[in-house]
Amino acid sequence: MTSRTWVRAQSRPRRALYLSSPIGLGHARRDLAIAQHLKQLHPDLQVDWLTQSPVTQVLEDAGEHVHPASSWLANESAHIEQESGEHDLHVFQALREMDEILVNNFMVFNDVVEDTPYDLVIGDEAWDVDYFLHENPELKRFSFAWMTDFVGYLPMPDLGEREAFLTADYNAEMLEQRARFKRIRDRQVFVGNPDDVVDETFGPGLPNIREWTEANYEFSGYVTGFDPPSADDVARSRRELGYDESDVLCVVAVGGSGVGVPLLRRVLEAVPRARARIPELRFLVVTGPRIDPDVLPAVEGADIRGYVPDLYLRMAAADVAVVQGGLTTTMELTAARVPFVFVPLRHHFEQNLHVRRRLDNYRAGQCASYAEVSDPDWLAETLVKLVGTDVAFRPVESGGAERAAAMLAELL
Amino acid sequence: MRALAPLDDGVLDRDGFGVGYAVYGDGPVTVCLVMPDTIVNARAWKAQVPFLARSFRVVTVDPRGNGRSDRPTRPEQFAMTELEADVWGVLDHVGADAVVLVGLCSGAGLSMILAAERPERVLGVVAINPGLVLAPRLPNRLLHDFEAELDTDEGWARMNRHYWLRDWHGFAEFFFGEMFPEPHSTKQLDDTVAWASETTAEVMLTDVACEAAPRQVDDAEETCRRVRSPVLVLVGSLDNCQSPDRGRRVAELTGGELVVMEGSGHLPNARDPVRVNLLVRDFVRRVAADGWTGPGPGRAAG
Repeated sequence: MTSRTWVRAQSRPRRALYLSSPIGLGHARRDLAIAQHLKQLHPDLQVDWLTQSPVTQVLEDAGEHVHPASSWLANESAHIEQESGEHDLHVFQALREMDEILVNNFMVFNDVVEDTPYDLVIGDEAWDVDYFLHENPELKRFSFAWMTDFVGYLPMPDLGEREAFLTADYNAEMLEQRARFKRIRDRQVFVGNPDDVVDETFGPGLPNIREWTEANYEFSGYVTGFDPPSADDVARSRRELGYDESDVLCVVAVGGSGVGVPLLRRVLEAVPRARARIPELRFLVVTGPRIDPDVLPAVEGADIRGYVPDLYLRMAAADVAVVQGGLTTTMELTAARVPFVFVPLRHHFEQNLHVRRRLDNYRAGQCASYAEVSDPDWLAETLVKLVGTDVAFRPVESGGAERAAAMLAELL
Repeated sequence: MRALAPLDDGVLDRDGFGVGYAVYGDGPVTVCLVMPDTIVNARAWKAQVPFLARSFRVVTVDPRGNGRSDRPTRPEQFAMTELEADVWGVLDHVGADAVVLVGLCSGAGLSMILAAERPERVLGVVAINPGLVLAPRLPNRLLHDFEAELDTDEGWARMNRHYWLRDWHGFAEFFFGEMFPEPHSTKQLDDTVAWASETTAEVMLTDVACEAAPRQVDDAEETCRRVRSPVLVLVGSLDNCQSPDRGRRVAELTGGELVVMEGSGHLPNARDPVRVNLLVRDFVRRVAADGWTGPGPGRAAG
């Protein structure tokens, strides 16, 4: 026998399905914070998460309910890692090559929403769901909130005309989808402020990205997902990590995907030279959940660790930091007012153009090329100079998660 | 990266000729995906395989001349009996008795022939833009002589023996450009041209020399009439390869179901994978529920 249950509409609790972009760990904390605020606004709300490693680990640690269908998803982080070279990720092409994964994952999503009558689906850069809902609008049976922290594919200048043609074509398709099927996105939330949007065109004959985004999106401000750490928090974090007041701490982190090994090696090469200038300097190298710490060489003065929970707190305890160009980590350092060097992955348009734009806005961080940080003298010298400098970063606004949650709450 | 790894894959040795195949998933019903012909390979089902493999066992077969199948050098190696035996051989090898066949273009034609020949092994057929000569060729195919030396390389003049030998890549770019009338198909175009590059004009011309498929309307009609299993036909209204009338005739002659995909081209499996996936899944579920008798001997021919 088979058995099914149908619940009368008025007897149903509110249910939301949260899709958190699973490439790296960038969105896990902000999405968790937004979901928690959303539950405060609707105490009867049940939230299920459809996402992948490494985000699932963070969610399960936080006691959230990960939908069992998540195990059917094909892994986007693994794909991105496979597409990457030495500190090099042609991310637009990697997304194109991810097409069969995106179809697979949309089909999983579609089965899930066919099975459970969700009131709201929240897609934080859930590209598959947004794209295929526009291509198959009859499959939409819930309110859909779309969130992103960048708008528009941009060509990397050294990739030539073909890249410019393709990015414009992808942008044009998105603009046509939006123009024809407005009903697919019930809210469009830009995680940031209008100034954070690049002042560029979507492509020849297409609108300006900032103007279009301002006309079409709501802005939540940045969402760090945590309250700014107090001086006590920072001091406690240092103690927990095992560092004294007299130590000078440099944190090195490369986000949650497995792309960062070459950068970690370059930093480790600079450690002896930096310590020759500041003997108290100690390095905490965080590999993240997808890089085995044992692949890196042991270096005097450097602690190498894998996944570190609450990394933002650990980074806040740093005197200086070296990171990749991902938005979340750089903005966590900006919020914590820690001087840092960021090294965008080569050919990664989001890190090189969109994130760069936002960090310029906050007057935060020193951008360095991979070639620069591959020179250990240059890197040692730069870190030594940054230690103890007064940062002039613009403060990162708080309350982003509450604002985003309030926008979503209206859909429930 | 592939969305799903096969449980089993390899090259089947059929009397010295290698046929590439793969098996995904382990569901109770087997679905065999039959790709057109030499110009692409089984990777062209990449948007279908992972989804279908969640419910069914999915078997793919690389066509002769592409993917991991060997490249024929003699026309008789493209004989219809050989193409049929490739599919049956793979299905025997993986222990699949009764199956649902899903074919595209000439792969749909082959699927219909397989269903006509061995009705006891076929639970149903999904024929996407089927290539059976049930209606006249599209006007674009009548513009130029395939065999003649032409004084132009423009448009359908590239559907020409001499042009193929001069610039196979140029043909593939033109041809698949025509296969995707849907705007914004750059990725699908890149993929299909890359698969076409896994074969050569020489192999394609060996296929042309064989003339394997039924060339007579009567034969094709007879094939359709002999099919006993349920048939679902998907037809792209803008297909520039097979006349949409051919798919319509397949549905008429088999009493099958016709789904016209308005605005779609020749390869809706690639350009509108979600809709195609759902149509195929629902069809397989339906025919498997009607006809599936569990592992063992296939159901009797209806």
